[in-house]
Amino acid sequence: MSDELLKVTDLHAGIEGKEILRGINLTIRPGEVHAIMGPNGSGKSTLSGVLAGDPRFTVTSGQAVFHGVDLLSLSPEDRSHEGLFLSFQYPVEIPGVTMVNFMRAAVNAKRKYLNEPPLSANEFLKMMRQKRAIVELDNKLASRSVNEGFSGGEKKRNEIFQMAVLEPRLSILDETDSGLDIDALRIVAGGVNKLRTGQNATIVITHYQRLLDYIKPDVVHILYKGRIVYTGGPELALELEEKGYDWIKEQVDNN
Amino acid sequence: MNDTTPQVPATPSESEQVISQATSGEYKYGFTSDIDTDIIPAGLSEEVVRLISRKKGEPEWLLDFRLKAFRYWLTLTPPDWAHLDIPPIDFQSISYFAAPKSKTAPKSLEEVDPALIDTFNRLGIPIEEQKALSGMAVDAVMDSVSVKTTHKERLAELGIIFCSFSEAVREYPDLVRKYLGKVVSYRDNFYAALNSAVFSDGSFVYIPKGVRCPMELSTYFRINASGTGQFERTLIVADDDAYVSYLEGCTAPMRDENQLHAAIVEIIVEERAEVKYSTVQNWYAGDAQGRGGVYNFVTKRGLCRGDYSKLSWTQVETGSAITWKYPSCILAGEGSVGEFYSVAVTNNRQQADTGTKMIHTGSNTRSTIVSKGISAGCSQNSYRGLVKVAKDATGVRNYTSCDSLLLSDTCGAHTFPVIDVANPTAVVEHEATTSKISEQQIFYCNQRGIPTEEAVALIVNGYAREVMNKLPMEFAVEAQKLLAITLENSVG
Amino acid sequence: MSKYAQVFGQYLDLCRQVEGRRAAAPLIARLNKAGAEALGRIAGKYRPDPMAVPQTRPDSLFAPDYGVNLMRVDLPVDAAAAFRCGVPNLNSYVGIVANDAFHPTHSLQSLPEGLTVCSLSAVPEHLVEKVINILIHIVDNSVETGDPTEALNALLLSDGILIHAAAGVKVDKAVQIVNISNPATPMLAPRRVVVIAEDDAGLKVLLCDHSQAPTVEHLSVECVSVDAAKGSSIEIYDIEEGQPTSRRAWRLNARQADSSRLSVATAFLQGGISGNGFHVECTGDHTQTSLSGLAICACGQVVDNSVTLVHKGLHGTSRQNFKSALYDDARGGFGGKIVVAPGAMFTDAAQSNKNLIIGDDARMSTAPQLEIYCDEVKCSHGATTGSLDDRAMFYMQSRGIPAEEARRMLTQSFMSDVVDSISFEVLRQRMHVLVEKRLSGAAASCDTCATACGSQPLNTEL
Repeated sequence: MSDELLKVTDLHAGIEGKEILRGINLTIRPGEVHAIMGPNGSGKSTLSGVLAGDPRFTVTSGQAVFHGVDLLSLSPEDRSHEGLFLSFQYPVEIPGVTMVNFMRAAVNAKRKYLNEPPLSANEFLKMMRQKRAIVELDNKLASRSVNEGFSGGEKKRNEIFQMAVLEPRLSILDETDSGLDIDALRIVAGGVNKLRTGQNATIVITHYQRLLDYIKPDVVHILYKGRIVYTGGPELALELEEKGYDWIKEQVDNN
Repeated sequence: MNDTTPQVPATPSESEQVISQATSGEYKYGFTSDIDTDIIPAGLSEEVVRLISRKKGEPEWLLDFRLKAFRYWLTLTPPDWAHLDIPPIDFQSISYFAAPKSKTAPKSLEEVDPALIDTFNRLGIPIEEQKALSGMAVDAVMDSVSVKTTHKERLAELGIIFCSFSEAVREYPDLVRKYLGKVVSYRDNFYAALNSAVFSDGSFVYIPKGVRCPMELSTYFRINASGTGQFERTLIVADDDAYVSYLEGCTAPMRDENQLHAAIVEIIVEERAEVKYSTVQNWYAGDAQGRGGVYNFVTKRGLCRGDYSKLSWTQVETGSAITWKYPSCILAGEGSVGEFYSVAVTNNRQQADTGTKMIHTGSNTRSTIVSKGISAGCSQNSYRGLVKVAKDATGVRNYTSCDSLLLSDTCGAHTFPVIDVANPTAVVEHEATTSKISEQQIFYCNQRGIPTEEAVALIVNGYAREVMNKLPMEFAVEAQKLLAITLENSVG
Repeated sequence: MSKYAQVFGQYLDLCRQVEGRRAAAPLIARLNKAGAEALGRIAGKYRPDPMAVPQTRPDSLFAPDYGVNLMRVDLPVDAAAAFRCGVPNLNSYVGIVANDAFHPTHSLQSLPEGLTVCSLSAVPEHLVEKVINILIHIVDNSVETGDPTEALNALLLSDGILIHAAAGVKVDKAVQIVNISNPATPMLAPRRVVVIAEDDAGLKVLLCDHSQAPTVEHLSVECVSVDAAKGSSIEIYDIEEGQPTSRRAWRLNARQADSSRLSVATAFLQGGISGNGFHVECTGDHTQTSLSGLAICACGQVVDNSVTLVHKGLHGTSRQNFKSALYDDARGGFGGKIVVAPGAMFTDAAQSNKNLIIGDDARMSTAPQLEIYCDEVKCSHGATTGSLDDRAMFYMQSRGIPAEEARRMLTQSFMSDVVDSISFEVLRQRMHVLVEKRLSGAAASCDTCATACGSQPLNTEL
């Protein structure tokens, strides 16, 4: 179907021989925001890692088709070029590599993939300036090493800034709200909302409803024990906030 | 039997007193015991090796093993690569066999020479079953011979074998033959070859599949006779899923001469099994001028053969005039783990060259090395280590931390690690620091009313805590006191 | 005769055959004699250092039957055409050493007052005794350590260079010595640079090693002899860009007096087998020493750096930072010994050795050592060996950076602090570029290796 951006079918995956995802089915269309919620250890971060190609995880069976492309056969960088973006729960610090060099390498690698000429230094710096404004990122961060010495809020804003630069078709925000105070949360969510169009889509992975006050989901999924056990509208998130996860656990565990 | 008057065994509180008195002065274990001893004349030859084997009534294969080792030993020279100043040793002036005299092996405590019991009681070692309240099974080795092993029957119910090496040769020849020399070959080094030729006794431990040994197993070694060396051998085998914690302690009388101790410890750890080996080494260190003391040249090595097996060495080295020992792990099984925690204290004219080797040949193997050296007086204290990652061993991790504390301006503290990595997936880290106790720290303690000597002990114990915490409770207390005693008068 | 006595004895025999017929200046003749005596004493008792990578040990490096130009047969070298050094535009005082012969360039004709750069056969009269004393002290000392390299160099040396700054003379411009090897047959080239800074003087020296003999095995035996007087400051930079056929035995021997500063930085970018030894004695008080090295090795290249730093004075400070990145089947070695002598109070010595193993068949051996005989000190060393951080790799890949490039960027950032510690700014900038280019070449090395072995991206550019 042409209007499917991502279609995940019966995806099984694990780490070091231990199965964590036990048959995920998920369909995402352009313009949609999906929230994936679930208790700790349900497999949320595994799902984002597997989709982005984190080598720690092994896919044992299943499919993920990303706008017609077999996602699971691609290298992590080609998934990125195809328009998949993962905002890391724990952005990695890379001492000695400046943000400018890092982003230029990323942008030009993608342009090369798309058979476009590399950006000149001027064009690139201009773009960096524009995108920085979206998440109110300090100019000074550009000359610092990637994520090194960044505060928790700066790290998450830096993730959204990179998302703005790379203009993905599908963004996965993995626990982007963790460790953020309310102001940082508003800025980060504001950035995400500014980047929304009718063509791209977002998966918000979160433990709490809080972030969903700022990024309104169209669909809410509940992940538990490696399966999506419940799918509903935005009201499901509110229900979870009120009643916790226990009723879901009971329902699933008793069946 | 000799004519020593039987003595009333010490009560537990008296045993405690022995330890508590030990905090008050010099080497407390420096007495000699008046025990009738069977000593063969000094000297080493093929004849002597045959004589030892004959005295012990050994089977032919063991004599062959000894002779092979002896012939190989003749081709070797003592190692000289360590940072040690070792006076030439006349191997012909040492007697290679000394045994407390008795007609037959003691069957029960009543048959053991009371003077022997007294000796061990004065050392604070409970070889009497009823007093072994600490839940510790003890094998006591005096000079060359295992004197008495406690708790044997209870252990036997679980299938655990804990006995003297000689007994193991008689009772479990197949097991001994299967494992002897498999981890430390007689060709390993000069002292290993010597030990393999003349070893007298030692302990043998076998923990069967799936058994967790319910008590600490312990061996106390004691050199008593003059002019002798001690050459014991310990062999520990932990079968699949087994667990054992093993303790080793040692003392020797104060003598003006140097005594040689060349031991071997071999450990085999099978699948998912775990062995903890703890040593508190307190051989006589010689006097302040460096006269006398034990030369402690020991080869200790374990093979983590089974997948996910674990071997942990903990040592507190306070004694010996010269220490040359490197308890090591060969990590062959997938995911096996090796650990080495060491505190080495040297004072006066002591020299220590100690450390470990972690040989990673299996994938996803991990090792941790924590070494704390403390040097005082005119002593020399060296850490020597090797971390080797074989080409085919993927996912190996090692972390080494190696600290030296100097307590005088006339001592030496040295660090000689070697790291050899041949696989790109390994992560090997080594850190070392050297420091001294700051005058500010001492002053702070003084100001709070703590005398300098106590302050030093306090600070040193704090510095060594990471290692001391790895010792079983019963040992930790003793080890702490030993540290304090060793360092007495070390800060002027 | 032992195997080793034979290896080193062949050079003694060679010199005996031409005894009395070598046309050398008196200073060099005295050095030859001291070298012969020292080597005679070392050759018999030589025992290879078990820590060193075997290929880089003197007994391996000196074993082949090399020719040595003892009779000073004139070997034609077009120095100007040959000079394609990776560090141009430094505006430096340049001297060229073609194999083992010194060729001054125009830039050496107008030196500032108090700076001397000359051949060891033309040392000004008032400096001869000083130079010979320094060299004989070093050669005699080497008998103690048992390393025959200094003695061999002294024995075989026919020419060399003196760089001397008189008291109070601070030279801003660098003195650059470009070593070029281009023998037609397997050859051993002895080279020596003597660097002397008198009281409160300042010197910068840049040594560049090049080779144009990609098919002929050649050994350069290079000794850098340094004497830093009170309050002086010496910076020495050494860049190696040889060929797979290059063999190098390099020794730096330095002595530091009160309040002197010595900074030595080496970089292995290209070459074959390189064994480098640093021996620094801080005899004065308040000395400052910085030693650093980076090595990027691929396809069969072997680099071993071995440091002995002896603190004898009060308040000495030293820093060591050595890094290597090993691709393919490269081998690296590091031996670092800090000795704090009795009474060398308030010494502050730190050493760091970090290594990246990138190739499946690469191997790294590290032996950092501390020997401390004094309690009032602060000493530390750290060593790590491992692969690139796989979390950082995945993060970069997830941003679309291809694995190859991510690896290159991470390796470059790994090396960056060594390069950043070069205080000579023009050179620092140049080194960043050289490292980047080398890494781009190294990444694709073995597949395309014919003779130049990954060096092409470097040389065509310059």
